[in-house]
Amino acid sequence: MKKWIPIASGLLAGFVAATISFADFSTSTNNQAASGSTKSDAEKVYVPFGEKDDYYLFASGGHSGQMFIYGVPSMRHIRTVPVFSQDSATGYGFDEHSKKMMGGYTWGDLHHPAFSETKGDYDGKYMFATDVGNSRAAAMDLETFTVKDIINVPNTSGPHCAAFVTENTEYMFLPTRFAVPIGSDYKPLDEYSQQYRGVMSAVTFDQNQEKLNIAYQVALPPWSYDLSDAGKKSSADWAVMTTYNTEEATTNLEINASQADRDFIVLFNWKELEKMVAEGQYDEVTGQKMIFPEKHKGGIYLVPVAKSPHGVDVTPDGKHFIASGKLAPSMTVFSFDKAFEAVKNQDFSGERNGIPILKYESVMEREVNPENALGPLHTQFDDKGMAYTTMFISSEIVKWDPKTGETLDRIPVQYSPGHSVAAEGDTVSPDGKWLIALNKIAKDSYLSVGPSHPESMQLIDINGKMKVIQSSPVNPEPHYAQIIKADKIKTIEVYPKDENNKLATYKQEDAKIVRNGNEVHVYGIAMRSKFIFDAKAKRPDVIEVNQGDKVFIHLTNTDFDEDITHGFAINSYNLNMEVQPGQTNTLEFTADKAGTFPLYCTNFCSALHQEMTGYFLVKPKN
Amino acid sequence: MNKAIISFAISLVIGFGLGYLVFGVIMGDSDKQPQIAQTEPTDATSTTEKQETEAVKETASVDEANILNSKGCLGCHAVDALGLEGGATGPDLSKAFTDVEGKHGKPIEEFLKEPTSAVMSGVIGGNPLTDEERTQVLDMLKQASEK
Repeated sequence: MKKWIPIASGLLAGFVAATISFADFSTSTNNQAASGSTKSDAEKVYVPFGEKDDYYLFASGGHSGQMFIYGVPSMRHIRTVPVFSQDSATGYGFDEHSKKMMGGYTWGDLHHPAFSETKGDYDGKYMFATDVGNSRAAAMDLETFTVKDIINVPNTSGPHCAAFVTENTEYMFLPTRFAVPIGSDYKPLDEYSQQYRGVMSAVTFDQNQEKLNIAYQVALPPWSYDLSDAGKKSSADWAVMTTYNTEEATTNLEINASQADRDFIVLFNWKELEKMVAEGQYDEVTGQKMIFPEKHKGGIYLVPVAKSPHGVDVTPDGKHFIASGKLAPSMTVFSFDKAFEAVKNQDFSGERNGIPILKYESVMEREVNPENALGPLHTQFDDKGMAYTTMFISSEIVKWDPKTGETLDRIPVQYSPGHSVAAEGDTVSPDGKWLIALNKIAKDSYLSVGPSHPESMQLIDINGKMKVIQSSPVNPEPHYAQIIKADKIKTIEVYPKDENNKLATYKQEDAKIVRNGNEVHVYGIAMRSKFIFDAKAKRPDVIEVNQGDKVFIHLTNTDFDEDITHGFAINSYNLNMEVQPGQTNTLEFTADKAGTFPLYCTNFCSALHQEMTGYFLVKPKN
Repeated sequence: MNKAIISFAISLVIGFGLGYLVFGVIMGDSDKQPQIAQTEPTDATSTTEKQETEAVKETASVDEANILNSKGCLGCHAVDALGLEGGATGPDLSKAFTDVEGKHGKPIEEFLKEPTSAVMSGVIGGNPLTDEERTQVLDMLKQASEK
């Protein structure tokens, strides 16, 4: 054998063995090296324990009637705040204050959340929301993340295109989705065009009293009002909303409300409407000041728009409003300045239902039609003024330049996005950075939970080329959301003592049960780890009443210590409430069931939480 | 023949070493370097941070050390008003001096002798405060309530 054979074969075998042992056959080497310089997608959304998210996301919970709060970018669900529906986790809808606010309803359909604004920017004080299911509006305090007031909106049905607030939270306008006769009286549908109306309510919020009020209403034509936005900066006195069914069809709207080639955007000047009301140019109807545009002219105009429009959004600079069509494949950019000019010159093409129509050509700036993008719905903005529009049918987000109409970027989402929300994306100064697609359908995205799949929210990094980097399942069903910088929200730690609150009991020795005829008022204390209802009783943690008594339980949490929340529930009495640190809350009910009913603290409060119980004894009637 | 086997074996080792040099060291480097570069500074920062927080804590506890620390109160309670960090199991004691009487039905001085809550009965029952210690605790809580 030649000498070199064993040497060569040895070298070769050794090299092969080393190749197998050490060489990296995976193709990921290049990717890793490339992403080594920037954060990976996982790192971008990872917020380590002990650190907090940069933004809050307030997402409407649709027909759950609740508001879902998430952290961004982690997409962690932080809290569900009950708004229009009962919530046994917090006793919302059971205690006196929330039960009264809910006015007998047990559910709502929360569509569009909106933050209070100062100079067109979120001020972090309040969040507003509307209920399409039962025609209500609510105001949530962001110090405590609790609802302070709910108002029932008369003469309207389903305030869908709300809430949107004006630049300094002067008004929230609540236009109706379903036209109804004034007062929701009975009227035959054959008289639809004469008797039905799409009433818009101008709602104010008194921040000192924390009360919602209706300032005035406008009796618009009997069309369906869909979405809206308030003007900004130079257009701050104005607002826009889309409307369909200008055909005034009364059945099978899927077909009959899609006949005309053009519907309208309603453009109105709320300062002018305010002035008209001040001058008495209104009718008093069902206790409301109502402007009838055919009688009291001014302040309201119609702008023709491609058929069945859906979203309408004002650009951050307040110069333009962009309409997107459910049935038109394009977005239309309109100019406020051109509209103001047309109003000044009375450049009208006619009238509908007593309201002047501006000429389309006079107000339209450009039509934007990204290739094969179908079903544009809603538009949000980044810090450079670029627009991001959701495409419901082609399941994507399209980024484009409102100044030129040029398409800049597109990204598929899974699937069928309704709204999207950018970080502070509908203010005068959007943040950029993040956009979240609120998808209506998410087939096969998550582990199966049966035939109905979870909907999803997808987080998109918009620094540079758009990229979906996180996906979060959500309870049915996201409609709209708002993203606010976390440092704008200043929550409190405990409710301050209110010495003027006659229902509050801050001292053990003051805990008492007072009987007045068949009314029993319990002024009690919840503290870790006991209840004291009557300081002087043999058993201070027992409430004894007679069958048929009307019972009021006023309970104060005397733990002035953050995170020590107590609950209060009575076995088998279908009752439950919560008292947060320092808070006083009241349950009111009739003790109609005789018997022995244990009561207990529902909210884990300390090591001896389990021992925090007592008895509710109801003596039977003889 | 033996020679051939020996040459084969030696070459095998050399070839293996060569292969390791190529795949394990030279090409492996490009993978590993960024990882090393990333982990090192993170480690360094976290240690410095740790040291800093520890340093801060130490000074706080040295300055304010005293009775609440030496009796282990801070294991469960913070006293935010005095800048004393502590456990979150028990309530913050900033307002204890004024609030205990209403909440527990007896003045704080009495409460410290014979607490009415189950947890504190256990804590103090097994390790009662001397009169002097109690005075020191009361002094500090009074200070806190006045801030």
